[in-house]
Amino acid sequence: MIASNDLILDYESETNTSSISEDVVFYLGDRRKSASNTTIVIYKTFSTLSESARQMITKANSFKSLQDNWDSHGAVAPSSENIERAISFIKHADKNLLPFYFTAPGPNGELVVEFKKGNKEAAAYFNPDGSTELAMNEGDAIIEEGTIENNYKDLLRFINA
Amino acid sequence: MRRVLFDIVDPLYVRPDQTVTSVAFLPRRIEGALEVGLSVEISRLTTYAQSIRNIQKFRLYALKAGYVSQINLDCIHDPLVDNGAHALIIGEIKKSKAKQLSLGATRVQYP
Repeated sequence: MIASNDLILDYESETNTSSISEDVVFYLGDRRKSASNTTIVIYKTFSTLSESARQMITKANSFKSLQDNWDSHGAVAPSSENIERAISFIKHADKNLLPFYFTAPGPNGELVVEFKKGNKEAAAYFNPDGSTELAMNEGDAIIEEGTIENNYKDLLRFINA
Repeated sequence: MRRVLFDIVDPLYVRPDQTVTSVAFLPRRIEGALEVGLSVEISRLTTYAQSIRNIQKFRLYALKAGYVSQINLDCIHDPLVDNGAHALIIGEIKKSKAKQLSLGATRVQYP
């Protein structure tokens, strides 16, 4: 189903979807751009999690069993709260059909969730202090840095462009 | 002289395509303070076996020192009593810089 491109670009559906069956996909255009330069954002409603999201969540949950020094070099185990934040994000990102690629714990209790589409990659970081970071690169070039809260739309544009 | 640096990583940092994730290159916070630099080894002063010690547990990645300089970080030789090959990658290593380091790292297979 292709919606008209005067819908608002966002990662939350602003459409009443109560009567829509599972797996319906909306294509949301950015009304701030001309039709020839429309940014397409894909939004999935009422669907079960994708297989790739499920795999990411399973892997993220497995990090709950890590102990401090899990890498034998003094790495701090991620907290359950931080893992749950990453899982919430994965569920959210799955609604936009973002291409999950990888997730891993970091050495200081952070977690990264990575996306990959061709030469484009993005990494969402969940820091142990509750802050987030987002980095996007195309090949060797860093395209943009920011936070998930402020730059999620940029991530959607970057991946879907 | 072209130097190659070895970095030893946990398998959890290895991505499906055998590249390494950026978090492997984040400085560690030790007792509240960030470590001075990323510990690596100078390849010509060590061997795969000496570097990795436990091939079941770790994976070895190589970074060219020239690449490290290219992304505005420095490498310094920092020999330890028990490891003459030890070196440090120093500079401000934030997430994007860690990502660039990961992009320059290539897997070294067991010889």
